[in-house]
Amino acid sequence: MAIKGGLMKRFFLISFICLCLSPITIWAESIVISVESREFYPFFFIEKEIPKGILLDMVKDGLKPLGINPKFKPLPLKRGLKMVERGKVDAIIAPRIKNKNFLLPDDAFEKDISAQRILQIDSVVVTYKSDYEFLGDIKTLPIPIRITLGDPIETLFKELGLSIDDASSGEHNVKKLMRDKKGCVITTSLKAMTWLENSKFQNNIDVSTEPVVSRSYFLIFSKKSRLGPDKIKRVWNEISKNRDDYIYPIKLFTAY
Amino acid sequence: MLLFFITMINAQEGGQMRVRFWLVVLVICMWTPLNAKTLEEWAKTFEPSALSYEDRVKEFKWFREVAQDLAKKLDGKTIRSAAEHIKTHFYERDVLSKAFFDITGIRVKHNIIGEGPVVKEIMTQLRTGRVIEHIYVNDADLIGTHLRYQGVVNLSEYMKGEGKKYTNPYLDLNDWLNLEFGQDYSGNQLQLPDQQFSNLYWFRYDWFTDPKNKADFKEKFGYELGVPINWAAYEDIAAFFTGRKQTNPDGSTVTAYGHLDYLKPSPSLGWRFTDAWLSIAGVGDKGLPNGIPVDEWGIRVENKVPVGSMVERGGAMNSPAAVYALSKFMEWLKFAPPEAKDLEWHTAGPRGAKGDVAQRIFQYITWLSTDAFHEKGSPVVGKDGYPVWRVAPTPHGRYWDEGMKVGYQDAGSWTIPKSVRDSYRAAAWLWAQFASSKSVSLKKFLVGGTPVRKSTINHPHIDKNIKKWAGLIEFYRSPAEKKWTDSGPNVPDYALSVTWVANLEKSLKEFHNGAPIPELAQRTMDQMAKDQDEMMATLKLRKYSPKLNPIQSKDYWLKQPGSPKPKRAPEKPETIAYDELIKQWQ
Repeated sequence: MAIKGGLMKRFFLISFICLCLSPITIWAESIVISVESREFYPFFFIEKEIPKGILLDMVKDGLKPLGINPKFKPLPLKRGLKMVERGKVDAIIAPRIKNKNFLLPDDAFEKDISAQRILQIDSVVVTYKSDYEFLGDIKTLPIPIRITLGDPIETLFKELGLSIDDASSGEHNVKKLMRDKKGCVITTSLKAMTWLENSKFQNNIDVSTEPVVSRSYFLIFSKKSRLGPDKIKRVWNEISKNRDDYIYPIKLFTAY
Repeated sequence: MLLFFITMINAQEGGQMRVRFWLVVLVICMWTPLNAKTLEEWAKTFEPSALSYEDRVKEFKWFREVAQDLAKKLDGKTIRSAAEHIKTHFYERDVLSKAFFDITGIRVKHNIIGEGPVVKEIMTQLRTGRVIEHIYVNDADLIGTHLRYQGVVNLSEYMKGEGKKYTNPYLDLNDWLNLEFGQDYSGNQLQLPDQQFSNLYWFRYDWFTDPKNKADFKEKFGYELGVPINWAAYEDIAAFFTGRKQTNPDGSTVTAYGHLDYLKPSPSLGWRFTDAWLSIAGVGDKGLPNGIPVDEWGIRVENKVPVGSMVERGGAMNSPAAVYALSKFMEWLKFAPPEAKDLEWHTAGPRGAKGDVAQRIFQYITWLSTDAFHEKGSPVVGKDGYPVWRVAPTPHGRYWDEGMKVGYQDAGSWTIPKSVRDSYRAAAWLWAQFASSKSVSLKKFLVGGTPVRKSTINHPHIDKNIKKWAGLIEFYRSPAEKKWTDSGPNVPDYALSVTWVANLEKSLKEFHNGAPIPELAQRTMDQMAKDQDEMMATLKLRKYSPKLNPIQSKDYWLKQPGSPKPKRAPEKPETIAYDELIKQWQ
C-alpha cells in the first residue's frame, strides 16, 4: 500500500507539472465578448442556446493565434454597450459607436468600409409590392420603418425624423407589413431572400437591391479590457488578414 | 441645334439673347461627354460583324428603346460588373461599356480584377447577401454551386417572365457555343457564356517539322517526332528539347525548354488542377461531359448527389491515376524554365512567346491573343507574319480511356446574384446581352481571342485569316470540341477548390525541399481527398447536397469497373503528324 501511495503521489505531481506547462489550459487568456441577442442570420444568432454566426467565427479565429479564448455573451445591444463601457465585458461585436471608453480601429470613423472591420454588412428594404423601388434616398422610404428591436440603425432614421416601429423579430415585422400593406421592413438581404421564397410573402413583397445602410462591424474593445492596446491591434490585424485571404472566407461561408 | 441658336441670335439682336445662347451651349457641353458617339457611329465601329450595318442599327435601336425608362429610373446610378483581367474583358470595359452608355444612357463600371477575387467576391455576395457587384462574368465551373445553392437568377425563367421585356429579340441563343456550360441539370440557363476559353496543347510547329530535329528524335526514341497523343510521348519530347539549341524566325538562338508550367502559391495553382488535370490523366469515368459516375475532380456522383472523393468512398481523388497526375506535374518541372516556380496562370500564359519553349501541355487559349504571340519580329512569328506555333488536342495520361472527356474548356459567363433585383437586374441583363450581342461579338473576338458565338467562328472574315489562329478555329469548328468540358454540375460547391490550393501549396513546399515525388504525391492526394470529403460533409445546399458513402477498403472500390482505376503499367508513346491531325478537325 505504501508503494502504491508513493506511485500515486508521483503520478499526481507529474500530472500537475504537465498541467502547469500546458500552454492551452493554464496560459490561454480568456475574454468575454458581448454579442447582440437578436437574430441576425448568418452573422449572429442563437441556436440551442449557443451563440453562433460568421462574425463570431471570424473573431474566434482572429483570437486563436494569440492564444485567447473568447466567451460570447448574448445581450441586447444597449446593455452590451453599457457592459463594455463599465469594463464588465472585454468587447462587443457591433457597428462603430462613439464612446470615450471604447477602443475602435483608427479608420473606423474615417471610412465607411474600414480596413480593420470584421465584415461589411448591408441592410436592405422590404416593401409591400408596388411600383416603389428604393434607389438610395432614405427620405423616400415608406413609413413606418420597421426594424428589429435593438438594431443600431434606429439612430440613423431618428436623425432624419422618420417614424420607426420596432418588433422583437424580422418575422413579426414582415407580418405587420403584410397586414398593413404599407411601410417597410429593414433587414439583411439573406433574411429578405428567405421571405421571397416563402409562399406566404413572396407574391406580396419587394426587396431592394440598394442597401439602406452598409456598416462595418467591429470587435469594439473596452478601454478597461486587460488585453491592452497592442494585443487588441494584433487581434484586429489577425481578423483582417483572415478576411482578406482567399481561402479562409470561402471556406468559412460554406458552413452557413 | 447650334444652327437653330445662331439663327435665333441673328433674328433677335441683343446681349441678353447672346448670354442665353452661351449658357445653353455650356449646358449641352456639360451634359454631353466629348467622345460620345451616336448609335449609327457605334454601328459603324463594330465592323466586321456577323450582322450587316442595318441589322446592327436595328439591334442597337432595340437596346436604346428598351433602356429608356430604365435609364430614367436609375437616374445616373451605375451598374457594377466584375470580370477577370484578360483582353476580352478590358475591351468590354474600354469600348463596349462606353458604347452601351452612349446607346442606352445606362452607365456601367466593368471592374477588371483577378479571377481569384471574382470567385471570392461572388462567393461572399452569395453567402452574405451584400451586393458587391450587380453582375459577374463568373466561370461556368461554378454551375454546380449555383444549381445547388440557388443564389443566382434563373435566366431561362427571367427571360420568359419578369425580364421578357428586357430580353433582346435578336439574342439568338442557338448561335452560342457551349451554352450548356451555364445550365443546370434540367437545362435552365443560370449563367450566359460571355467568352469561351479552351485549354489546348501548344507547340512549336517550326521546330517539330525541322528535318534535323525529326531525324535526331527518331534516332533517339525510335518513333516520329509529332504531336504527342499521350503523356509518355509528351515526356520524351520534353526531354528531347530541354537544353537543345534551337533557332527562331527572328534569328535568335535559344537553349530550349521542353515544357512550361506554373506553380506559384496562388488561387490559380488550384485551377491548374481543378481545370481537369486529373481527368486528362484519366482519373474519371467515361461519359461526356464530365464522367459518370466519377467526374473530373475525382468526385463520385450518384443521382446528382456527390457521395465521395476518397477512393474509400468510391471517389478517385487519391486513386493511382490521381497520384500519377500530380507526380507527372512535379516530375516535368525539370523540363520547364526555372522561373515556373514564380509564375501564375496569367504570367505563364504568354510565356511561350519568348521563343524558348518547345511545347506546353496546358495552354489556356486566353493568352494566345496577346501581341507577343502575333506581332512581327516576335520569336514565335514567321517571316510571313503568321505564327510558327500551333494548337492541338490535349495529350492524355495513361489512365485515360476512349469515351472520356479529352480536355478542359470553360466559359466566363454572365451571372446575376438573386440579391440584385428589379431595375438593377434588368439593367445588368441588358449589359450582359449587349456585351455578347451578335453586333459586337466578332470584333470582341478579334481583340480578345475568346469566342462565344458560332457566327463568329464561321464568319468569312475568319476564313480569310484562319492561319492567324494556328488551329484554334479548326478546333472550335470541329465536333471534337465537345470533348473539352468545364468542371460541370457535379462539383457541389466551388469552395471545395480551396482545399486543393491549400494542400498543393503545402505539398510544393515539401517538393522544393526534396521530398520524394511518388510518396509526396500519394500523401498529398490522400489529404486532399480527405479534406474535400470533410468539407463536402459540412455543406448546406438547397439541392442535391452531398451524402457521403461509408468508408470501405480501397481494394473494394479498385476492383469495381471504371473509376477509381487500379494502377496501370506505363503506356507506349504515340505521336501524330500535325498536318494529319488537323485534317481530323476540319
